[in-house]
Amino acid sequence: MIRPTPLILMVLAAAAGGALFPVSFEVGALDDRLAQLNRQIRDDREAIHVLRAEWSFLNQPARLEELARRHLDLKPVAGAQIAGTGAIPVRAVATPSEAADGSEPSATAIVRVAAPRAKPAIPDLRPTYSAPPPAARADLVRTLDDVLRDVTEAQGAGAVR
Amino acid sequence: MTRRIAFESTKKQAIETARTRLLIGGALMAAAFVVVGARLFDVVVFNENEELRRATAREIARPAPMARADIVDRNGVLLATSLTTASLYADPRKISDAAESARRIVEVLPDLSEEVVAARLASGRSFVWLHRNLTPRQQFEVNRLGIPGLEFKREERRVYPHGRLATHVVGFTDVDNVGLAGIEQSMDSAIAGARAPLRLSLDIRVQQILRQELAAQIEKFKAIGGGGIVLDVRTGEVVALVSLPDFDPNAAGEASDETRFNRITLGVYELGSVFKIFNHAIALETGAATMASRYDATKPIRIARFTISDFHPEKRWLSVPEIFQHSSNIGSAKMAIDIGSEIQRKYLGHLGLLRRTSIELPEQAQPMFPAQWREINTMTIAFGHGIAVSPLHLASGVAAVVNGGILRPATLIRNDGAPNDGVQVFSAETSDRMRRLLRLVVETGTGRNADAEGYLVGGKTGTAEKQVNGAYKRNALISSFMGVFPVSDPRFAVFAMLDEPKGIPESYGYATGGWTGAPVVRGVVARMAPLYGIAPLDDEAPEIRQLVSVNALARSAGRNRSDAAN
Repeated sequence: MIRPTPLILMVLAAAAGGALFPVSFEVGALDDRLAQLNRQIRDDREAIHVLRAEWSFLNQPARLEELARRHLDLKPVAGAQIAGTGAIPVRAVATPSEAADGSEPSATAIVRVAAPRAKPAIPDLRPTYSAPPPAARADLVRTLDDVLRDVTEAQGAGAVR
Repeated sequence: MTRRIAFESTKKQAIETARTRLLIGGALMAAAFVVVGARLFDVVVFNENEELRRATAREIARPAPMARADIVDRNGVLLATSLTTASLYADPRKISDAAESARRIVEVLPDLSEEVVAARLASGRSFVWLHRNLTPRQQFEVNRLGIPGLEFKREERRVYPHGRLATHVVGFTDVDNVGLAGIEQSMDSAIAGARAPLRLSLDIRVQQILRQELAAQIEKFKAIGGGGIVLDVRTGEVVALVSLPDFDPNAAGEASDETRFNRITLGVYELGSVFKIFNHAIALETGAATMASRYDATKPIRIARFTISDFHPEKRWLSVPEIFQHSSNIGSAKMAIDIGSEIQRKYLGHLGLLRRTSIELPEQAQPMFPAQWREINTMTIAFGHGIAVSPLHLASGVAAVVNGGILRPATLIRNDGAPNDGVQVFSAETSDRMRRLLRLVVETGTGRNADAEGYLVGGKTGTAEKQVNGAYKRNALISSFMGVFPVSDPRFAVFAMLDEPKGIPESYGYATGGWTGAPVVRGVVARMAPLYGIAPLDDEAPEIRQLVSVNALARSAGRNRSDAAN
């Protein structure tokens, strides 16, 4: 007849052992998994490294240039194609037809204003250019900010539609 | 009774003994439990991080150590990297049949020689290299042979994805990953074993533009080579550096000495008239001449056994701007006399033209100049003869002339904070005048072909005959153009040089700097300015004229004089 105390202790010991056994197996399995993941990470890193080298290789400027020449209708930007925001002239509020039906001026009006001439960017930088013809002066209430807002609103409206 | 007593005492004694033993055992157990409890307490309460540290200290997702750090351009584009490969070696003591093994190895690695492999395998040593840097496929093939004694070693191989584009700057390494040229050599200790990439000041896009423009011009003028450099005049950073012909650093072993030669840093040349930039700057700075001074250029100067004459003779008195504009050797020489030998030498020294540059490249040259600085030397050095410097020397000196007078050491390493300390060589006023003179040459002088519309290029042409064995060779020219832009507030200095260009019908038989170097500079400026957000300016606008024209300066000087008179 075993007394209760040792019995309890033995049961506890067996329970602890039983609980520990799977844990230790689990740890072993996790260790393996960790090693495997580490290996995989290392391999992936190496692969990424190779891909980065290849990416850089594929981005050789000479190659990109050849691809652009073959597939795009684009050319290098010439100086005459660039203008500062200061060179965009202020624009009348509305064309007569728009004023008649009360509608907001459309953003396409900007395209009309910025129509390039032979040497578009350069003359616009002269301070004398900012003086508009006297007849149009009354309508000149809009600033560049308005123009830009028009463009963004037109784009926003387009997106909703 | 006695028996009972005796029995009782024996029993008592036994119980006593048992009790004592139990006590000792219990005490031991208690002590053990106290130790376990204390350790438990220690582990749980005091040392929780210790366990964490030990857990993470294992090689969890730690990148493998790299033999060499990457090299990237200023925008992070990869220029040099190390890729892991397998290298084949053998332990000949474990090889049973050297001849047969060699035959089978050469079957899968045809670039090896069977005799060499057989000899190595029969050498009886414990380690011989057979083939470095196998492709994965080759490695598989060798493995499949199943020859015992063959082993692989993981190695890193240097790869240059952009090939020859930046080859003279980046350089290359040997098979053991030791830098042998360029940045790979000069920064070897910083690259080896490092993880963070080395960021150069180079911009691969500008590098490509410069190389392409130069190559086209070399082809056109049948030159034997050429070189170019783009320098940020505010920081001294080299944005592009090209020397042609060049070589593929991925196969550097096969490159000839001719292609490996860096014309920009290792070559020293008598660069000719581009040196007038320094001559004029020194004259204006020291007050030896003013913008209004005039010199007699009616006839050539004869001194000792030399004759100094002009390439485009004007045969009249020339003002200081006109001497620059028409590139008059006679006028420049006379200005140099007014400057004096000592001062000329001192200023050229300040500009770093008499010592090696401090650029991070091992390929560097010592300038060549007369040991005895006689008057004739002073006169010829005024127009760039009798002194030979590398194009890098020139570009970095010219950057100092135009950037407000501060010489900053040229560097190939990207500079993220404040630029390196500079030395004030010229006053801001001299710098301003020189910018106007440089613009004058492009607007109306010999440098018109460099005028990239809207970007206000200023510059100076240079055409010099090459010295071969101490004698000038009539038709072997070094013709170049030294440009800066935008002249109103210079950002970049662009230099282009052709080695032995030949005249062509399109250039009316000329192979001078204005025909060969200037168009390269124009092309580079027009294509790189948009990349750097440099807005084109109207060179006819009054406020721009005020900044860049020589006449505006003369007018305001005249006004000041009349103000003073009032």
